[in-house]
Amino acid sequence: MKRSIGITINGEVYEETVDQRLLLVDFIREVAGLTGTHVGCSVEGRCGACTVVLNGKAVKACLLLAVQADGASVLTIEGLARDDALHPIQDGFWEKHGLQCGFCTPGLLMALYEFLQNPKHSDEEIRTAMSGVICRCTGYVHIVEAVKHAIATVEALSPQERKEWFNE
Amino acid sequence: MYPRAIENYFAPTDVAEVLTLLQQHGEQAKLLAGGQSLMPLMKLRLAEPQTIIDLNQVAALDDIREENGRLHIGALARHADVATHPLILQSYPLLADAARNIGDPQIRNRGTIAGSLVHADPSADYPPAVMALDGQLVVAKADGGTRTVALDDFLAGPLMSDIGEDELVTRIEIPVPAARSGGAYAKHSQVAGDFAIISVAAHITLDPSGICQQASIVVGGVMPKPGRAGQAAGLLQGKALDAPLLTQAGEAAAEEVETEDDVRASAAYRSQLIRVTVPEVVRQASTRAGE
Repeated sequence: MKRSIGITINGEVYEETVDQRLLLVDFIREVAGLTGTHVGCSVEGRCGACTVVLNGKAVKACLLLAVQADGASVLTIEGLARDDALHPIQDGFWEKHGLQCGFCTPGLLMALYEFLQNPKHSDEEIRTAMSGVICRCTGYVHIVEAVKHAIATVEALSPQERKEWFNE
Repeated sequence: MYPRAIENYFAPTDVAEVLTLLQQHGEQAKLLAGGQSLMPLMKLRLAEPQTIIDLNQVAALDDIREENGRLHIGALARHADVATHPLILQSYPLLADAARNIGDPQIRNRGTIAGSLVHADPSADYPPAVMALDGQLVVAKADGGTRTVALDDFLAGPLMSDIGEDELVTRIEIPVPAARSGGAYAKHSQVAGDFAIISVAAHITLDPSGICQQASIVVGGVMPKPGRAGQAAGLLQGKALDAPLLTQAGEAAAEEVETEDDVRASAAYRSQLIRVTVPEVVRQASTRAGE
């Protein structure tokens, strides 16, 4: 029923004995106390608010058991900014007003994290990359603008800077 | 909504171990691959497995390669990998089309080809595509045997497939297409990433003068499982694929594939979508065959 696991989240190891049915999103929120990862639809993994980066890939944390992430590395919204500096993707949303209520924003940023590492993208590709997170406020236009802003920022980074921002 | 308590969780690292676990726990166990269908079912308590056998640590179950005239796709190949694999983009673009149409990027990062085929949703993207390519599943049995089954026979009905409690699909096999072959897949859905209202997969082989030698057309989004439009495909054989013939094939497919009303669309709307989509998809397949 219970199992001892360790998950590295934003570079810090969290060890806990958990119910085997515990969802990864609840490990992140309840065990690690990182409540920036949100729970929206809570059933079928449709809304994407719980998206995190697991071993480099964007996944919905409500569709994984925490025990499946034993030994894995997870990046959440709390791991994006460095000291006082916003991550380029956060900065894009700040500059272009890519959010209203903000509930979907953490999931959206984590869904775009992998995508932005190779920033040459068409408008169509931007929209596809966003398609796994539902926003009920913005109508998405400002989000697309925010992603374009972030792409421009990432493209202007030196290789070293890029590595720093995308080194989980 | 939360899954029922899970008594046993196993994360085996090779196929032999999976089969041993299936032998011990088969009746109460569920194999967990990508989890993009199973986890929602568990949360809804439509599936309440006591034992989870997680396949994600099993080594070498996700490779994609050609061998002895057949494409081998490991059971655990993720949709994102199939959608972007150079060999698949080059020789099996129909499969890449289908993979790219599944869910959204996060789902494609987790979901697996064998998981989708075993789950057997009649509106899923892979089944019509794999059927059009005459795909087969290689199934390992707990007693040490293996069997190979055509996807046409493997799919039994809505969410029903021919998989035993002591069996594991290890790979999908597809014959390497003849020269001058091409395929395409398209679907209609209410919103991006949703299941299909209808979808159409076509695979075409042309002779050097552009005459259709072989054609297969499969329609998804219909009950109880994707349906072959055999008469429509038959119309194409031995002919040049001009616009009037493609229109005729669309008419034939709409006539022969039975549609039903459901929450997504009416039967009549589905038939109309089949009528107009079959010519588009066959045209794209034949263009690719000629390239």
